[in-house]
Amino acid sequence: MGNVDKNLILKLSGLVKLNLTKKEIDILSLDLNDILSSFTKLNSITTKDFDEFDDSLKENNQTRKDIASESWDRQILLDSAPNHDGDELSIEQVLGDE
Amino acid sequence: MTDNLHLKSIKELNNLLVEKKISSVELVNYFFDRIDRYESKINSFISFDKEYALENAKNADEQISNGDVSLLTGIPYVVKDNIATKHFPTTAGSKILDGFQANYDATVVKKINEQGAILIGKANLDEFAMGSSTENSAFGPTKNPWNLDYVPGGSSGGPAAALSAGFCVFSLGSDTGGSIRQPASLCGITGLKPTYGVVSRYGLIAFGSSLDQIGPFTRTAEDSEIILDVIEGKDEYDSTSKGLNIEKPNIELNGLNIGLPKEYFSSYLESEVKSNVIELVDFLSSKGAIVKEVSLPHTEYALSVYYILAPSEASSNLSRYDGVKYGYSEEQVDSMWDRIEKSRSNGFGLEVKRRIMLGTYSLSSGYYDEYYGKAEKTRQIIKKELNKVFDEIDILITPTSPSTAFKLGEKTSDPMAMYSSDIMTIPANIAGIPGISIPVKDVNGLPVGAQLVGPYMSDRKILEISKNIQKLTDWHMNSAIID
Repeated sequence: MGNVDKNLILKLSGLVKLNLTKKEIDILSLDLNDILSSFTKLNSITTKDFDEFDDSLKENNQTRKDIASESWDRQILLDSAPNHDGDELSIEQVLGDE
Repeated sequence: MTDNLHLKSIKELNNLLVEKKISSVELVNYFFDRIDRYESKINSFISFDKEYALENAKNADEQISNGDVSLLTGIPYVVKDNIATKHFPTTAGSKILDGFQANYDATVVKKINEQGAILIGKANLDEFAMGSSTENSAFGPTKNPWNLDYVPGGSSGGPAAALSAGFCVFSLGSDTGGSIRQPASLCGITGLKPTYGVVSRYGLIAFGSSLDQIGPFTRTAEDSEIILDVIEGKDEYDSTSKGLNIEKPNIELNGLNIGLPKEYFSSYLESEVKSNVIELVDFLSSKGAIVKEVSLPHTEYALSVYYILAPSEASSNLSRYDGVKYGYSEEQVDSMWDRIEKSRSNGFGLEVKRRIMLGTYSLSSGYYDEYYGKAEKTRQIIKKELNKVFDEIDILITPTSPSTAFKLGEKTSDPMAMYSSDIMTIPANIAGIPGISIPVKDVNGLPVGAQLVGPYMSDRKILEISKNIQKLTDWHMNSAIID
């Protein structure tokens, strides 16, 4: 466990859409290695009899039928957005011109 | 007007209000006088609004005149700034939500406001509740009212310090790995983390959704019970929520079975913290409680489990902050992806980035089984072990934190040292069970907390035991004297 180099940091930061500074890359490389090394103790536990999805949410989660109700006011939501154009959120062009 | 109103309990203040010895307007002015005097030294608030509070206090005074009174009518309170409020901005202590205005009140806020309480402001926190010292806030660190060179704990350091400094009667925090109990311990107040699901999370900005829980900071366990009675219950907006039993247990200290888990009293614990918690245990023993040592050997894995699961959930929860829908958005951008990347990079602080990276690593292909899968399975072992120990005891007593408050800046460059601050509190979150921190004897002017942990849905039981302790002791009466 715990072998994080700067290339892996860059790969991860790309996945999570973070543009890290050189200083942040240096700090996070060291920190993640330290933190992940501390997790090695988990290797000593036998967990083969346990199902990872049999967690606490399973017994807590209570569902109900969908009920139609008033939604949020469109204008309030649009006003929360940094940019909007009429009734739509406004973002930069995603696809090319051609 | 009566003196030291900031040290009075909810019932004492309610009596003063009902008997017209004070008005809610006077009470609000009293707390804002203290805020004017001391807040610049403590930095417990991100926002507050005296005019808004006074307007609501006038309404509360009218309600009192009409005899339409609950225990909370006219009582000023503060909310951690990761809980949505319609009137105040909700920032989560982050630049990425600076100025963000929610268009609804969280269920807990709605319930408390319906009782006539007066929300006076929003309190500081570690960004997105990620931290143990309230030094990770984009709005600057909060100081401990007991000693301004020390941290108040975290992540709910703002609401804990606001109460400890006498700026309100109670406050609300959130606890994902100890973020109510640890600052309660470090600030010398009572802090309750209810059973997972007892209090609705609707309106709480998500960090670790399988661990997060809202709870109160109060001066006494009796006040905690009053607040829990208001905020607990099933909420149609939170599918994990459920109500507590209404019936309140009658529990005597005589014959109470207390377990002391030996793993929590080991060498990394400060010796004076240990001896002061043991002083409480000895007191309980003198009142007829039966104390026995128990073992929870998998406790040593709890910190690792937590720091895999919580960042994994956070990395997913925080993917919604993209600079498009709401919150901070970078202006100078070339494309949508550039907007998202720049907004996130400039909007999140280092600790949040660290946890997003850690969580993404733990969930990524090739590492998933080794980290996330292993942690989820180990979580069940820890939970099973804790459930089993309650077959033979009523409650566990442990220190809430391995140390008293530490100095500002002491652990900021060492994440592992900071993470270890939560070592005593994390297991209750992993198992979804309730825990409360109550003050015991302080160490050289810095508070110490004892943690009482009970089985699933035993919230009323641990509150009743804490109330009984506080009826017979006066450690909880000590208060911060701000320099």
